Amino acid sequence: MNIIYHCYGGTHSSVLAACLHLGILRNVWRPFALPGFDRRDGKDLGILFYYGRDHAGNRVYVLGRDGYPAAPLFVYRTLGTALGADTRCLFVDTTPCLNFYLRLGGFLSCRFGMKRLGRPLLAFGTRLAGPKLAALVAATRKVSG
Amino acid sequence: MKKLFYLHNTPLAALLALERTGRVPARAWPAYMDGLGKKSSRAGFLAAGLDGNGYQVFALWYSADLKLLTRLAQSFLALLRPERGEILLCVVGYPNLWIFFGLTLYRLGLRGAGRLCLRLAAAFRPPQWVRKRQAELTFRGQRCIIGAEFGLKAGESLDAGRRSSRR
Repeated sequence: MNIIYHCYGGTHSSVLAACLHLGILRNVWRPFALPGFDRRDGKDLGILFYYGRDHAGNRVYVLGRDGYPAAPLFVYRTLGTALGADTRCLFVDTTPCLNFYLRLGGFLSCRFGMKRLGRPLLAFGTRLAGPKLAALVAATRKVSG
Repeated sequence: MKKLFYLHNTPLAALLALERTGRVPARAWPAYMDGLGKKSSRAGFLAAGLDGNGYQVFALWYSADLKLLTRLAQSFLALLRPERGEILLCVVGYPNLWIFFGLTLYRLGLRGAGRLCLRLAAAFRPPQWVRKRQAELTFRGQRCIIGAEFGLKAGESLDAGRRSSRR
């Protein structure tokens, strides 16, 4: 099965969730060491980034889908139906785990390129969002087996 | 079987797909648009049938940024791993301004004005234009945009040695 974590830019909360899922993220104090964290821009929206396989053999991906949360599932389902392919896939929206600091930090860092101002906010927001993301990932793991 | 996907952020994809298969001519576009509900105008999927070249034609439309939609479709086509070379993804464009205005007016809920624009478009359009138009943006021609960017296994930490990203 494929597991796709998606959020607005595919560079903050979805990356954190994917790394938590794969066990890469152990220290939430250093999120900037994660692959792809705060390093993607508008050109990467809609592109799937493969992060690895989890213990159950599921492939974990990260996707940025801008302000269209239903678009990935719709496109995937319709293409899968048309191609008659195996469409077992889990789409996990990580935006409910976002908080004010992550939103503001992500906005400043990625939209305006103000990394110096945005990154401390992102680091603080990541720590606050950690428990929520961990709960989401735990639920996803349970569902995906 | 060879498959051709028409993609757009308006029902133009459906109209062009249906025209390609000869099921709905251009002059019947207003009637088709009137038959679409509000939800179907925003997003939809259609199997239009077979065209003259033996392609199974589909239309997919979703009210979102067209570049994002294109990248999503390309990513998912690669993820679903169809037999390469047999899939064509055609991101359609407005054939003329009347059609653009017509579909925009339909989107705004001004069906009467939209219908008029589409009728004008059908009246002023050369009849054989769609046959001259070739499906472009092939799946094979596009660079594969999905791939192992970060090949980390489960439980593997970044500190163990960061691998170079490859795309």
